[in-house]
Amino acid sequence: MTKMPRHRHRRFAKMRSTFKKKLLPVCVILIGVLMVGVPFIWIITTSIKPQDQIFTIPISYFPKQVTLQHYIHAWKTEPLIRWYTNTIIVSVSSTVLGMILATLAGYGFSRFRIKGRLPLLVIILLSQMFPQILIVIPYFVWMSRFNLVDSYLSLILAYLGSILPFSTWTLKGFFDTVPRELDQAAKIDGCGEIATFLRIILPLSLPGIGAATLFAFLTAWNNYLLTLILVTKSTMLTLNVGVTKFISDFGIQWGSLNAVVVLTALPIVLAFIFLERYMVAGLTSGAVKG
Amino acid sequence: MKKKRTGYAFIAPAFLTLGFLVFLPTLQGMLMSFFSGPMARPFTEFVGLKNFIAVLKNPRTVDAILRTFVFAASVVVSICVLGLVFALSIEAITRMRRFVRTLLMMPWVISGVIAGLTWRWVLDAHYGVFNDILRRLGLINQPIAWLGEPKTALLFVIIASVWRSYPFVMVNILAALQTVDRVQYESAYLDGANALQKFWYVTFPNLKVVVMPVVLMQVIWQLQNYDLIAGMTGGAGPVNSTETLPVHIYITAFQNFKFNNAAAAGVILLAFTLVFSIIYIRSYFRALED
Repeated sequence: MTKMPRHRHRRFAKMRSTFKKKLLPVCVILIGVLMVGVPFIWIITTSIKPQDQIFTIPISYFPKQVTLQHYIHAWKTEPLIRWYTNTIIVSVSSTVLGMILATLAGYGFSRFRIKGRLPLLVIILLSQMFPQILIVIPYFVWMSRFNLVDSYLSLILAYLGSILPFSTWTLKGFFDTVPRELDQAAKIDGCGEIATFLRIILPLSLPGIGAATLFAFLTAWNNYLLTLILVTKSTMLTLNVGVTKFISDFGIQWGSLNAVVVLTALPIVLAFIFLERYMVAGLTSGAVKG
Repeated sequence: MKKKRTGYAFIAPAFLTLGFLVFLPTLQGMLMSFFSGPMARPFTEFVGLKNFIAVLKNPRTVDAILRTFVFAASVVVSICVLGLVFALSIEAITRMRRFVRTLLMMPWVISGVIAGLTWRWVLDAHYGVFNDILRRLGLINQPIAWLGEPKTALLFVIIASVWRSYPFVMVNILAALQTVDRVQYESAYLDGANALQKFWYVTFPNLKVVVMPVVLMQVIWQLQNYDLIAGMTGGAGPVNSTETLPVHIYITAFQNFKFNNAAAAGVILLAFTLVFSIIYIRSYFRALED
């Protein structure tokens, strides 16, 4: 063994141990990246590969040619544009309605000494946990009786039911973090209850409301079961249910299916990439103590 | 805190809406399970527990219930492990943390159906990535229809659900890791603790508080999981091997048109989710007291 000056030995030893410390996490993360990346890339590349290249063995991972034939085929065979508009209309409407109600309720729980506050909060929590598959059965009976099947209204209401509990809970949490001193200061300045809410607290809570809104929109956009049951006409479907139309008893049109998968997931993935910080804030609102 | 009356005004709209959209249908569903009748008029005749007996005598229902527990337990345990491993790994690296976190969160952002369809294509027997990689690694030499074999279908449905849901745990653990007091780590280091001991005695106790509600929420959520299973195997799967209780309820209601029986099965599912909901609520309020 060569004689190295002691200080150099120590420096190399430190480098070695840092390297070892980082090697394991980096490997784990690499595996994770592959685990997430491979399916996503596989879907995207399949959607732009020509039909014959999808069904060849051995599989080509990178498309030798790029084509939009599957997107065009999907657009021709199914009312894609309708699906998009339906999804947007229903998701936006239910999110807006839900956020108005949830903001009011969240603020109410946070700021007012309501009798029975705790049991009411428990009820909100519980309402999140009732199985949707059970609720959907009476929904269907009602909607058919009121002739609301295949209508935007039934979908918006149904989505609203799934958005409201979690949004209220999250928003209450956010309002709790806004210091009460501000309320008092507003009162001293002569603001009434509603003015305090609208002019002082609300603007300060925008990040929290933004996070909750994103979350609600995500829930609405990604909904499957409610639309599946409440819609029978192909033109009234949302993207998530429409995509399954490419599966039939005769087989699966994988090219078109992947194209529609990309079209459905893309808006959300893009929104997530840009707004990720807010979504994470919304998700972890319960995680941080105090 | 302020007057009660304005508070009621703030929370009333949300509660009324929730009453109509969540509680009323749930109650109706529960009532429906004690009646019998044609689809349009499911409250024609009171039959007491007859629906429950019929449903529980059906071996398919019992299988579905057991399968649901196997599914939920496997998924929840796996996402905890995976979420923890990834969270710790992200915490350990110094560069590109946000990029990695965003990437590893992707599966959670897409919908359950889309996730299911993605995995369905990945697992395609002849043209899917999974088999191709296995073939190139020399592990198999024939196309295996993972989702077509009753023995492996449920396993891969579990894997897909783990893939989709681990980010939820990961993100919450990451947030919790940020709040752990650095001083505790330093004193552990001074006491001569190695990495493993540091984790067990410092990190883990701090995580427990955060992870409990997250785990419970996921249990409740996975018990109701329908979207992903529907996307992956169409529902029941080969020889009903992926038929969990929600799938079974759907089939009973919307393929066999036995709404009352489906409602009964739904009440059974509700009972299970209620148990975990109550545990969740109690642990939440116990944590509040600390």
